[in-house]
Amino acid sequence: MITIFTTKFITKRLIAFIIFLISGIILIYFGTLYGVVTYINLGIGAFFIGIVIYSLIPDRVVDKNIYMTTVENYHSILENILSINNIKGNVVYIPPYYNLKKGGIYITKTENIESIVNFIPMVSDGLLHYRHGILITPPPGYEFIENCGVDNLCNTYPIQSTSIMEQILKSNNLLNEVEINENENNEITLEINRQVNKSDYGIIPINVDSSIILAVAISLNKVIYIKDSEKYTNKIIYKLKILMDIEDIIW
Amino acid sequence: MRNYIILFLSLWAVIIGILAPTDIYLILLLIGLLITVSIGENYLTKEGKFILKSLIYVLLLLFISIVVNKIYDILVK
Repeated sequence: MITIFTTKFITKRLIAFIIFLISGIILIYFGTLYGVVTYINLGIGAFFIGIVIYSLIPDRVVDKNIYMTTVENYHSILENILSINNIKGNVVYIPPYYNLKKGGIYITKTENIESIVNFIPMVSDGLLHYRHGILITPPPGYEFIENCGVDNLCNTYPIQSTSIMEQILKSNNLLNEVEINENENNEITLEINRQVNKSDYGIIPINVDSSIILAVAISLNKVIYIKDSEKYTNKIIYKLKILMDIEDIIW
Repeated sequence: MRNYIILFLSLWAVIIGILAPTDIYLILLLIGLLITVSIGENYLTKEGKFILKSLIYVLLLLFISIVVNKIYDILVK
């Protein structure tokens, strides 16, 4: 019972907050006792720093290896679904909008990206099978987008949204660096520096990369697709292309 | 970025705490927090944003009480 209580409620940030709280009380007490304004101020400051630390340091931390194993399992299931349905096309990122609240990825059956123009499915949560491909909603990595808030990514430039996602993923030790370049012909080059593993050799990007690509789609409010990708041992380069405005795909 | 926010606010709280009297200190804490939240809003989690915004409201109430108190002092004199 005590163990459950300890692991569930007493976290590192709570301990830090309590330490600052006690320090603050002691400082205010002596400040009032001896009439030293600096002590009183520092006591208030200790409360303040305690609250700041409590609110900014994340509470729940999952072991990175366990997390990556879970991601790999989920990813292999998705890849199996694609291989069973003989789907080998491009991955299209659809940003959230009123008919697809959490956005999605649509994997075309063939590499003929134009088939998405004929894409008028009935949308529901989860996996949707259609003769031109498969729609997965929410897309892999949506949990990171949800963590920072979709509204924060809307009306930003791709470089800003990428920077936001980079900070979130970096703070969780999931990648080293992200670089984005907007080229001509509606093309975007995304370079993600992180350790590449076997899950990265499928059609769908793993959730870390997927969240960044989705963030770019959200900031542009446009449907984008992965034109090409290059995989190295410690980095992945995605070549993204803007396909159409979100209004053109609305069903 | 989160680490920078913690570092900035901690240094701000300590340095200003040594230099300013309590009423001005509270106002400066509010200003520091407002600057941080407006610049680093995108880097905060939902929970973090909620707690910091609540702290801003508390400091705003203190700010209003300080201002009202000062006005009262001037009017009484």
